[in-house]
Amino acid sequence: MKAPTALVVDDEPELVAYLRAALARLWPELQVLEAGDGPAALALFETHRPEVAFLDVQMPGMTGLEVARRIGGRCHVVFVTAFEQYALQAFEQAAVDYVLKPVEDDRLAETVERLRARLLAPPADLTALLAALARERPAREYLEWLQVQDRKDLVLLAADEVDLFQSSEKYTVVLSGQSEWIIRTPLQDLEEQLDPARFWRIHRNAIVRVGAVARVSRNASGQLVVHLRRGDRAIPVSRAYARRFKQM
Amino acid sequence: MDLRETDPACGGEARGASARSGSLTRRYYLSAIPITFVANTLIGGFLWLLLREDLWSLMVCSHAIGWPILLLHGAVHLVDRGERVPEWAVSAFSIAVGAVVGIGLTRAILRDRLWPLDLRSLAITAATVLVFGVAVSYFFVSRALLAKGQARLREELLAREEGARRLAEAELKLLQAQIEPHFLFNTLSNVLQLVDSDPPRAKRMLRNLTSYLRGSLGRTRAGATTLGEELELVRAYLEIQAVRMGSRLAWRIACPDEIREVPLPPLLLQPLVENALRHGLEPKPGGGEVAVSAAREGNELVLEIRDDGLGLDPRQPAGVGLTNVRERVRAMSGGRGSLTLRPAPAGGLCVRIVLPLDPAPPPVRAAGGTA
Repeated sequence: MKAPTALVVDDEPELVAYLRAALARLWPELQVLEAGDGPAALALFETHRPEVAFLDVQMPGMTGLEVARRIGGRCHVVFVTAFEQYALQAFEQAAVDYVLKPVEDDRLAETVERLRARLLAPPADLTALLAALARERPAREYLEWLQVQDRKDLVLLAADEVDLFQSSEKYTVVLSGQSEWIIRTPLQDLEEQLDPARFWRIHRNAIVRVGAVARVSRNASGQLVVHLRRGDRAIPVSRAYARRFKQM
Repeated sequence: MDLRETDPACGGEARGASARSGSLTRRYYLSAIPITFVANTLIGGFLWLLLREDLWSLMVCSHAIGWPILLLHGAVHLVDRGERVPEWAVSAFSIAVGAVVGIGLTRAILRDRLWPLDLRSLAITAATVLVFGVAVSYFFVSRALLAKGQARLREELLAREEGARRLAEAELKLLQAQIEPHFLFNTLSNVLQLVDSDPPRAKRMLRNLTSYLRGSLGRTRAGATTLGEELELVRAYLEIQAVRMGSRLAWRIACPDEIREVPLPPLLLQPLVENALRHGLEPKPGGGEVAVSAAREGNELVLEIRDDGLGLDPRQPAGVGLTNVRERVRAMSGGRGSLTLRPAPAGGLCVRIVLPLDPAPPPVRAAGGTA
């Protein structure tokens, strides 16, 4: 029988060296291939078809989980991770092999023992586990940064710094404290991208950050008016959007 | 969140401060006494010129109407602490009831000595009282609103500063506790490897880890530190990361010696350098460079962290670190400092902090107390 081959993937070179040395002690006949990122690992996998892959979970570009998904059950996988609370639980439940960094010889020896015993059996199916882990990622992300032109500089403005978006003709005016900028994104697009829990449309031409509102009053004609914490701006609330404030 | 519905009319503006400004109201009514006296006397004089009736009677009439108006106005406000009744209604009520009470009072004082005045005089008296009453009320109301508005503004400014300071303080504590487990365990793994393969480097790595932990955990309790100390923490962190990332990380720190002793609140640069690595360089397959620089420009300290990593993900929220640094820069410099983020020309991100370098009062000390 040909000597088994293992692929060791980690973006930290010293940790690849460490795992290689430890494996050499515990499993002398094992051939070891090294890769520093996901794409290199997949290329090596396709050419050498190793029996085992040690995959670091957190890597630039492509995570170890993604590499495992692409390998798709064609070899035995051991995940290597420093700290991945949610993943560890999943690994335990799915009885997938993993080792923690810093890798200890005793723990690695157990893993090697198991791998040797399983080498002839087909690799475990990780599809369900990987699908479950993929679901853990946040479902929806919102616009958090805006690029605004500040004199001749492009400046990044955190959405939470903005008090008010107000449309005027072709532009949208962005108000933050005493500063104002102009962006070209229409209010409608902003409303779709911003977190609806933090940003409220209050008028056909205005979106306000809820945290920037000091209070709401009623003007002489009975219309609701929003007052901002910073600056003394008062923005009318159109009837269609007034209901949100009345519930409070 | 503080969303309160308030009533229309000017009364709404004064709300909020009233509960806290009882002393202000008292002061306002005390100052109203001489003004009311002068106004009543003027009204009496004016009526005398107009009607040519007995001056003494007209003075009595004018004062008898003027004082009840003031008292009623004060009494309504005393009862209506929450200021639920709009100001115009309070004024109208005081003037109307005050006038009736005043006329009754006048009759009681003067008996039938000169009373009743003829119908024409009575109409003129009533009209005059009304016009003056409205004018004086308006004067008082706007003065009170102005004073209350100013007091509220002062209170709000104080509260806001205090709030920002507390927030930043609380978050700084959080920040201290947030040494990334990933970073810690991976660093220890590297040390474990280097102990065998390269003992001198392993030693250096442990020393750097010690500096990093001491700087991140302990130093913050000591309050203000210096720019040099902060850069030392950044250096220790970058050296560790350079071992971890190997050839993927290049770094530079540039700071002239003469500004190393400038006081600086702790953990002002380090969270930003960590951000540059965590979001910019670590996830970038080829890695890149981070350059940290400090310079004096005129009377300002300019700190810059520039990387050529992935740049800012527009959908990644600003982390605790960045928000905390921004709040502290704002709090410590009284609005004169700034933190600006820019996309770097080579891709990546450039964060620039500008702080005033005042000899006195040292802005850093003010914030140092908060840290």
